[in-house]
Amino acid sequence: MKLYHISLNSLLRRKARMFFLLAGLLIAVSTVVLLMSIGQTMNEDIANKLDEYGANILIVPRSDELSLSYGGMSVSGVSFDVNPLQQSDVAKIRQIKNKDNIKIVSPKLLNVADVQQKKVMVVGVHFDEEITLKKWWTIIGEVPREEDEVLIGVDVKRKLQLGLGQVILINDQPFKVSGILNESGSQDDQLVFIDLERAQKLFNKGSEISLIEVAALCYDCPIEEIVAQTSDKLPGARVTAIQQTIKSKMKSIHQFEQFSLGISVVILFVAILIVFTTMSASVNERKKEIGIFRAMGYRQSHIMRIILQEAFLLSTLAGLAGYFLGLLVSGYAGSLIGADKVNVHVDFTIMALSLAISIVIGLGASLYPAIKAARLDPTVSLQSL
Amino acid sequence: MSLIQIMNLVKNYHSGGETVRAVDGVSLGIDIGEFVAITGTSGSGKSTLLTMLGGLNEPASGSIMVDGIDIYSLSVEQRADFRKEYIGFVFQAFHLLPYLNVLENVMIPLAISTLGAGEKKEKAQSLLDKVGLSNKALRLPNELSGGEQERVAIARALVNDPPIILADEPTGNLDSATSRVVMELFTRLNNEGQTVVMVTHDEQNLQYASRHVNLKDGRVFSSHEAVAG
Repeated sequence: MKLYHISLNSLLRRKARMFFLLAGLLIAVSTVVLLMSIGQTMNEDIANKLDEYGANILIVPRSDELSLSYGGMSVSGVSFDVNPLQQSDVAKIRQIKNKDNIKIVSPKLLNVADVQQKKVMVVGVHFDEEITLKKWWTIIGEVPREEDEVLIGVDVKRKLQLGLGQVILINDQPFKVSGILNESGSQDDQLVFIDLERAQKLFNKGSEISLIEVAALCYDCPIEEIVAQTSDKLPGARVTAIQQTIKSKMKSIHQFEQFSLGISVVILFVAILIVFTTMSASVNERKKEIGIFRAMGYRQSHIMRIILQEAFLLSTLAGLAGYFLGLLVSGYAGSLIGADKVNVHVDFTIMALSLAISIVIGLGASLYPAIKAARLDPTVSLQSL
Repeated sequence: MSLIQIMNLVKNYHSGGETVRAVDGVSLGIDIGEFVAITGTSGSGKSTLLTMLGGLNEPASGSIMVDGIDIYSLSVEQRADFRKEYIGFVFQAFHLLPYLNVLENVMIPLAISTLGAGEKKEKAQSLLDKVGLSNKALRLPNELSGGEQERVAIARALVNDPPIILADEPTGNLDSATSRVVMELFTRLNNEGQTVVMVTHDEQNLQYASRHVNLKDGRVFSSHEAVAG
């Protein structure tokens, strides 16, 4: 027989009151977990979809020239590079402080070339990265696998009246059309894509590259921070963040997180009130019992321990149950707020946080009733017998 | 030397702007092994005196020495420790905890002791045996008769081996036959050396006590050895 036996048995005896208290805490914790899980899911969702949004950082040589445009961005110095980018710069981007947030680095060489006696923009790329970066591409035929294969935009196909498997001449060198891009409505429709290294040889550019597209995401820091870190690594380059969908998506996530925080604070405050009033009522109801304990030599600290142990047992149970309930509900609710796949999995950090929130509320809100119980005048308590 | 020495004890209650003197200069000595019955009319101060003896009710003046300890010179928490060591309370309405079984109720005072689980259980079992309830150890209080509940309360009061039992109207809620069983139990305990101080208004109970103290208006009206019954 220990004090916790008394606490436990007392809880089991007062089922209705304790169920009310448990339900209050459980709803509060599960709601907070639900909001946290949805927020986390939204973040994970956007990370998973990052490549679908394309690049959000563009790196070009620093130059005053404005010679051409690519993907809606001005690309300087294609013809008159002052400090052209080099293949080795790609590795430097992978060395920045937030390197873990870099998902794709796609270098490109842009050059105007004679294709079937017409001037066409030819872009040297690494096809694997390009395909990953541009999830929206749909290709008739196949992605080039060989150095002498090309992928052409639909406008190029129309203008030059080309077809799959046809051999074309680029600066008098033969290339086979292995794939044709379906209409994307972007500048890609007017381009011819070839392997980057082959392009460098074809145009005598050595290891030179015209631009680098980067897909990056950073939850904890603004994208501008990655831009700044990249600029430090590549002092001769102009690094620009592309303002696009991802930013507004992140903004809406932050707004949701702030909203969740506000709702959580209100809910937790209500939970504190529920615990406080229930425990206070419980103490009032147990004056007689407390008087008996005191008459038997229980110290004030023993009385406090009995009350707080009850609160601890309940809040631990509510914390765990609330976590799993919140997780379960988030599985259904997540899809309602636009996250395609809600990944319901046990996250020990959130579980520990739920437990901590529940226990802090349970013990915190029970502290005053426990002190009040401990300080009850035993003779007054015994007079209520 | 007396086990309990009460000296010029005074206790006032304040009610509706008036001060009522519940205990008015009581002095009394109780020796080890005595069975003292305190009687008096309602409001005579007998229950107040008992709670003061138990260290639960601080006097306005005067002192109570138990085993040489001035109990009201102790702090609140020290007085709790004193009660644990020296006092076993038996209440009129039994006051068993309804959510604990008989054995657990007897063990309540032991929940704060450092004894091992087996030792606590053994001690409680032997006391239930002593009060004749070892076969009802796992029953809940509401499954027992009034007399049985009072005997559980007595076992609970004895479980810490206190030198003093303070009983407040222990037969107040019992019929005469059951009262007799309970009083015989007190007598048996007293015969084994237990000091018992009992507040009662039941004249029948006086025959079991070795001394009879009568209070009137908060004062000792008479105190005399009981005539052997």
